This record gives sequence, C-alpha cells and structure tokens, in this order.
Amino acid sequence: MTQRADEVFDRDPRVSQILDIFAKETATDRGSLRPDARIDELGIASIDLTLAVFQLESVFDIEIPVMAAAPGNEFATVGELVSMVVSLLDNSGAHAAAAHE
Amino acid sequence: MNQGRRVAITGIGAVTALGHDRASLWSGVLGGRCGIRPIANIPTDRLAVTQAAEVVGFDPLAHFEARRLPMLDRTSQLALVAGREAMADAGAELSGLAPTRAGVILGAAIGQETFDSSYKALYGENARRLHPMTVPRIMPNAPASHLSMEFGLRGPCFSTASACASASHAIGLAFHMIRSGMMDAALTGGSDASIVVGFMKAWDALRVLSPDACRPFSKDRTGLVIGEGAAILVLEEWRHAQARGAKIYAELAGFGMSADAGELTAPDAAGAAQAMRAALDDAGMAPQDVGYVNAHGTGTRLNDKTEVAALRQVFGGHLDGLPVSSSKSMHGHCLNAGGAIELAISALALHHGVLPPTIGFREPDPECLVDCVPNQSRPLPIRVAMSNSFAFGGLNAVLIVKQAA
Repeated sequence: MTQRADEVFDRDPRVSQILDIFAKETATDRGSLRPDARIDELGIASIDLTLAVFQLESVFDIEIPVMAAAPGNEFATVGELVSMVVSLLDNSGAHAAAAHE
Repeated sequence: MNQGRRVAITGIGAVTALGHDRASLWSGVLGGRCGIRPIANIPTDRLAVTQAAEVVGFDPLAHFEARRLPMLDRTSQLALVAGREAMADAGAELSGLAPTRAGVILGAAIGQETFDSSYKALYGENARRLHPMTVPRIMPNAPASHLSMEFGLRGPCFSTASACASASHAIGLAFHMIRSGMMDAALTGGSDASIVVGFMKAWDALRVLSPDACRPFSKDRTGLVIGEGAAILVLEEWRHAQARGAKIYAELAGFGMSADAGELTAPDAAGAAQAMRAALDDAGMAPQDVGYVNAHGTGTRLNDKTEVAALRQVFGGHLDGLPVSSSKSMHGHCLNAGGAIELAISALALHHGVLPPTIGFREPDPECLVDCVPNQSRPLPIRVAMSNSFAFGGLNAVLIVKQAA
C-alpha cells in the first residue's frame, strides 16, 4: 500500500536520491520540489519529465508504468511521482528478498 | 534559361575527414591530402573492410553543452558545427532578413549512431529500455530542425531523400526556391555520420568497398570508400548579398535532375547525361562554358566508366580539354552529405582558381579516359564548375556554379 506523500518525504532516505535525480534531469531548483508541488506549475518541459522518468527507471532498475489514460502525464505532483518510485522500489525489494530466501 | 532572381553562395562551413572546418577542407584539397585511414571510432572485428574517411578527434563537449547532447545524434552535431561556421562566414548582416523568409533544406540523413547503438542495446545486450530521445535523434529531418532552431530560421524547412544525391537535391531546391521568390536565404547542404558497425556491415555485403584506397578513374581502381562529414552553405538572394557587401564565393547558376528509371544500383549514362543537360539548360549555358567538373567519381569500376560515357555524350570533343576530378579520393564518399561537400569544394575552386586533384591515381583506364587532375591540385582560373551526384535508385542531381561577377 502506498504511503501518504508527506510521510514518505519525511521518513524515507531514498526520497533524497529520487529528488536529486529529478532536479538534475529537469533543471529544477531542488528546494522547490515539495510533495504538493504541481509538476505542470514547475515549468518543466514534457521532454524533461520523460528524461527524468527514464533516469529514475535506469538508476533504480524499475519500470514506471505508462498510464493509458494520460501517457506522459502520470503524475500531477512531485509527491505522487516520489510515492510511485518508492512503492516500486518496495515491491522490487520484496521480490529480491524473496529470491534470497 | 530561368529569368528569376540570382542566388549567391555567401557562407560555407564544413566538417570532414580532412578537418573540422572549411579552411582544413580546402588546405587538404590543395595539398592532395588523403582523409582515408584505418577506422578508429568503431570496432572493426566483424567488418571485411576496415578503412574509411572518418572525422577524427571530434569532441562533442567542445561544441555543445552536456545537457543538450542527448538530443543530438552525431549527424546533427556535425550539421550544427558546419552550420555555425557557415553562418559566421556569411556575416551577422544576414539578420536583416525576416526569419520567415529564410529556410533550411538538407539532405535527409538518419541518426545512424543512435540507430546502431539502440539495436545493439536492445537485441545484443537485452536492454530493458531505450533512451526517450531515441526517436527524435534518429529522425532524418533532425539536422534540418536543429539548424532551424539554432538560428531561428522560420521559413521552409525540410529534408530531401535521394541517397547519395540527397544534399544536391536539397541545395538545388533551396536555390530554385530563392530564385522563384519563395524565400530570400537558406542554409542548405547535408550531414552524414554513417560509419557504424551495422551500416558498414551492410556496405560490405554490396561488395563495392575498396580494401585499400579510393582511386577514381585509375585503371586499378578497387571501389569506393565511405566517408562522413557535413557541409552547410548559406544561399542568399543576389541583390541582398550585394547590397550588404557580402563576400560571394560563387553564383549558384544551374540545377538539373533526372531519374534513370532502370536499375536500382547500376548507374546509367543516359540518365546522368540528362541531368547534366538539364542543369546546363537551367543555367542558360552551353557545354563549352564549363571549365571544371567535380565528378560523382566514386571509384567503382562501373560508376567511373559510366560517368565518363555520360560526360562524353554531353560535352563531346570539349571533354578532351575539360578537367574532371573526384574529390572523394580525399574526403571519401560522404553519402547524404556528399553533394554538399563537393559543391562547397567546387565553389572554393572557383573562388581560389585552383582545381581539386584526384589522388591515388596511378594508370589511365581506356574505358574512362579523362583529365582527372591526377594527384596534384592545379592552379587554373575557371568561370564555371559543374558538380555531379548520381545516387542508388537511379536518382541524379547536377549543380552548376559560376564565378561571382
């Protein structure tokens, strides 16, 4: 189950790495990336968002699904994106742990 | 003959195996320098032929911000570097033109480096994903789009596809569109960076690549050598160029096209001759007016003898005293960029009064006897030069430049 965005931001050490990658790929001020910040209001070009998603997938070896209803616009806020990545990492971690048992 | 507006060549930029700018291209041609070397930029263990005319020592980070590079296949990088040089050469006064009256027309060239590395990652390395910029890097109009964006040119912008005649068709169209009043200036030419493993392997299969050197018109010629590079020219409406006191390399005076409608890969003398005659008609010239021909001159057995037969059909006895050389012997066969590099060399030959040599020439071939300016450039003032491009698919394009006056 996905945690509330602000809880994730406060408690999960992986969030910092996610935000670093996101800020670099989108050339956005790291300080502006609050959980409730709307991606369409941060002035991020659509291609930069795509590049950020690609980089997050590559670094964490995860597959961020394309939402059929809104491809390329899967995340309204920074918090939603971070929650999605953290939840995918939790799942892939669970699989990895299971494989080791 | 067309009575429309005249068109000047006022800027030239080039990146080739002879160097990363126009000056090194021209000094290489003057010195008869060979840009063909063992391939250094890609692994060659799976290739039968391991030489090419590569652009060596090209550092993308010396020309582009790291953040922009994911957008740029090598094809676009070479086009931009050549385009910047051409624009700087033409001078800042070009800014007097309305952006909507200036266009970009280039020979179409797909992003081969991106294509090849993406397939390798997908099929060879089982990659889970490809880079999001893979499609826009590969698209054959990318170099034209990048030039349009770089310089804010908002008029007609597109790419033409006719294999090894692509750049010549592009330049011819830009010329005719300025002449007819559709635009006032254009960046035109071509860029090609096809020396990648998959594409070179495909060329191996055609069995036309020379294992040693490119020796056009020589009896012992053994085939063509692939090259890479870009040449971009600034074309400008004549009176505009004159009014601002621009340096004019040459006047672009004629353009002719034809299709063989015969074989897919074998050249055809009648089709080539038809394109040359069409270019002469377009320029309002007689064959006797031409003082130099920059041949298609690939160095294959079939091309060179067919081209000389076509030249004989067009020029008759005038061919006996007409210098016809192939600069491909120095910069290689640059495919979609070839016609642009060769027109740039033809314009520089007019401008400087020196004819480019055919290097590697050893022995005349009775099947293609021609004065090919063997091995050494030749100081000779000329008034008119013709540049030939004959492509796979039987698509021919011929351009004529004349001394600025």
